[in-house]
Amino acid sequence: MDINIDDILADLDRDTTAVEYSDPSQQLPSDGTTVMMNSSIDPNRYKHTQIEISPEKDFKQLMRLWRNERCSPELLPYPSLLMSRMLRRVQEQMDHIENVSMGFLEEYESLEPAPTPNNKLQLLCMEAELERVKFVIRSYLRCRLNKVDKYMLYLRQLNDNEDDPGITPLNELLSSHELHYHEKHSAILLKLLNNSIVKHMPPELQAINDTEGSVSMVDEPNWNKFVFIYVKGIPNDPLLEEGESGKPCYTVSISDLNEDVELSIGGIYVMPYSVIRDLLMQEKIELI
Amino acid sequence: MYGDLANKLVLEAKRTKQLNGRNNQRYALPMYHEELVQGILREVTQLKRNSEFLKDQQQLALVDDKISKCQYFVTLLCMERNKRCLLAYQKVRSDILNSLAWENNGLDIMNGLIGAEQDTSDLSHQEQDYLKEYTDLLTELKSGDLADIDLSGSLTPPSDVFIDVRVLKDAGEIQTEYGAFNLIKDSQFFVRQSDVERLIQQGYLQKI
Repeated sequence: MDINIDDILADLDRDTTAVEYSDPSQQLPSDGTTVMMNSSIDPNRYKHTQIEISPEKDFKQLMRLWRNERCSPELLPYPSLLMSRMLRRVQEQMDHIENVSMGFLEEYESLEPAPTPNNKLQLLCMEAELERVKFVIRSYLRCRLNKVDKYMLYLRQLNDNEDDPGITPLNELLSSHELHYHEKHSAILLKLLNNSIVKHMPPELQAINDTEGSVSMVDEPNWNKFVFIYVKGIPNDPLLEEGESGKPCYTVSISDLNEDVELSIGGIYVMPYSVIRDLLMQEKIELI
Repeated sequence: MYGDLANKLVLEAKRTKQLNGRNNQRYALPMYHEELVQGILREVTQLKRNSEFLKDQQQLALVDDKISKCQYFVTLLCMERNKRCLLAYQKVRSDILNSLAWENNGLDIMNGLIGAEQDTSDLSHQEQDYLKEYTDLLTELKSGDLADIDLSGSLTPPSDVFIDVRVLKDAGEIQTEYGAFNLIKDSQFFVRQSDVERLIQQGYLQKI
């Protein structure tokens, strides 16, 4: 009897790993093509993801992005490849759990079909895990949507001056559904404002993105918000320098204070966001 | 005094915000101040006429009259301020409408509002339209690729797969993977959280 249960467990293990291992091979070709377009903006991340795509790494990456997104004042670029992989895995895991709970998998083994207590426990763990992953994704997406709402006008402006090379175009910053949401929501919000107020105003006062007057009407992210950072560093980075303490570190300068600061690897610092933004984009640091 | 009405409106907006800040369990909007808004809009038109008059006078007089220049400038500032106050008021209200739409996910919010804590007559016509369109947008957003994630689900981290719930209102029978439950007031069940998420949000069940 005991051996039978072990067999079931082993079978389940094999099954889940089989699903997971098939991922990279399926994913790699499509990664290659999409990365071609993305590589101009972020070559470092490309290298990072290309080395190995395992579900575990992806999950860690998602957690990192989730934390970064929640801590940063601005909207960070949308990880479309990672998200599509995560969403697909959630789907697969849901199907898998369904199969296990219906007892389809055990039929192959021609064992007793009764769900054993062990089996139940395993199912419970899998479901709990799945719910948690779903929660992280949900929280991440809601956080982004919140920012999309908050900086609605600012994002619209980003779209207008696309020529500026320093600005990521909107369609790389947002996913397709976020773009759609942004467009639609700003349309209906403007309609509301227009119908109830703006159209009753004299023509010279009808602008709603006036930045000239007393207070700017366009909410911009607070670039000088203080954030906690953890310096992770990437191996063999040419930007790394030998610090005073002999440890490798990055040097950033705070323009307001006219001061250079050394960020040594493994350290935790509080910095204005604008100072460390570039390092964050290159994934050399994490927000915490 | 010019600007007094707008000041009232801003205070009202602030009150609305505090009202929702304190008990962030349920969002509710007080009555839309149609009269106040109309009053301010009238004031703006009046100010507009004044400013035109002052401008004309300046051109006629051709002298560097500091007093009338100042008067003209203050009039313009008043108009600007009124406009900003109106927009701020509307923005606060529309933000609350957004939260309302997220909370009542998927429900026909206009029907849901009747008899609920939020009275439809407290909204202006434009706001009603806005709410409807926004709810449609959310439904569309949730039904796409992200259907598995259930965007409007709980934003507190899940602790257990199964939870104890108490029934607060009769909700009839629900079907789950683990059989059917008959939700009668004051009974308790041990159910899967994801199955009853909706009902908890709608206030039929309470997590214990």
